[in-house]
Amino acid sequence: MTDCEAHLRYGMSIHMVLVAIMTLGYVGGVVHLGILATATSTLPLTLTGAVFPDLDHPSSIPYRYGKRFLPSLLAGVAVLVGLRYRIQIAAALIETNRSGFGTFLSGVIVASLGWGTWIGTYGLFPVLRPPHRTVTHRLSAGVIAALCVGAVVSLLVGGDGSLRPGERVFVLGSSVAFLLGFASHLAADGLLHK
Amino acid sequence: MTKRSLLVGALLAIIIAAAVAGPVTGADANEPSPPVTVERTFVGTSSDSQHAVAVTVTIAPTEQTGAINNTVVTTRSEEAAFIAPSSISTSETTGGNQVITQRRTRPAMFDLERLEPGESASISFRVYPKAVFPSGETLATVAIETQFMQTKRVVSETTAIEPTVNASQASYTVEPPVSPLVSAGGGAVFATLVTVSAAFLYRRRRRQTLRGILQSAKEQSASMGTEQAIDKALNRLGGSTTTTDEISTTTDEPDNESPTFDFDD
Repeated sequence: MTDCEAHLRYGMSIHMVLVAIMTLGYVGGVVHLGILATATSTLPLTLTGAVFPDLDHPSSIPYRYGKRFLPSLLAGVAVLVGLRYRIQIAAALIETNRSGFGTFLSGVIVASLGWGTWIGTYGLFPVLRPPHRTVTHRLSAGVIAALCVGAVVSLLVGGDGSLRPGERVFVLGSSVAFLLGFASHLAADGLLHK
Repeated sequence: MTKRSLLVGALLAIIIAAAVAGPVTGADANEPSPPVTVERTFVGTSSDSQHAVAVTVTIAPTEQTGAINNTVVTTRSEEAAFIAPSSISTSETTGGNQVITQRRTRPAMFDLERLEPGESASISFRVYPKAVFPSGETLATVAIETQFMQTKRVVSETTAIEPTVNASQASYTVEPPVSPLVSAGGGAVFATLVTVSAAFLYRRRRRQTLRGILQSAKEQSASMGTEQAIDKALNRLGGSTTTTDEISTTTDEPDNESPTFDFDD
């Protein structure tokens, strides 16, 4: 079994390859500078994807850290998304964003979203952990997880119902970076072709 | 690099700059405006109504302007406000054909084909200010670009949408009874209290159930070691270490431990 550090090294390597390809594309005039910047800035997501599959191992570092910090992290993301859309939530609730009750309800919803995510993740994370090297070590799982990452990123960066071209590139880049990291993990474990 | 080449370079730069800027400044001087009117109405006249600025953009070429073509209307909300996508509506022309096409972009853009004098098309939407009524802030902008058919000139104009409310209308919004921040914060605190209370009760119930099971196991334990281990576990759980029957009478004892949402115990 490859350890966590080795998976991070694989993730780093594949990200460097990605950045190198984008740099060549930029120099050749094929790739826009914004895409190169996006590819460079999504390193954390590649590394996250590289260790993500080992969340299914109870003694692995990702699982132990995940159990400890993932509830707070996801709750934070949920609160951020809720705060971002608080006006729309208030407006949708009572058709105006100015009444005190609408903003009160939006506060209730955003806080409940955060707490619900924290409690749900805290309670379900150990319960739903699959056996090691089963579901989480499949490329299809990586694709789904990458789409989920893209959805969260688009909720964070998106605005009034649609994405600008730059935001679209960033969302897509985030998903691709995560998927590449995930694929590097499977490659390191020798499971990519299975 | 010699002085001469520097001079030539500077001259070239000036010529290029003049060539680029010249037509623009020249065009600005005699720029006709597009045949467009932007109406703004504040629709919040009471504390329980919608507090938004209703905007109607009407494009109506006249005999003077002649027909127009390739009109693009761009509506862009600023940081202080947002345009409700559900409030956007477009009108039809005299002929009944929908000439306005909305692009699936952000900011929202609308394309109009040829419009003859006498025909008109309009776009309506509502702009909601995000904060307590902003003073003089621009909430949104409507940018229009169109081409006059006769002269083939392309002209553009940008109109700012600002709060168009007088002091009497805005009196209740300038000083709302409860600010949105306090109201939303109150809601968040309320949800947090409910969640913490529910978690506290859940944890207490779980502990009581576990304590009952341990008491039952203690009564049936065969060895001294097991009994000591159960006592230790009961002490760790806290509360009373009385028998199962007595537990029910001691449920209202305060639990001194703070709630930590320890669902594993």
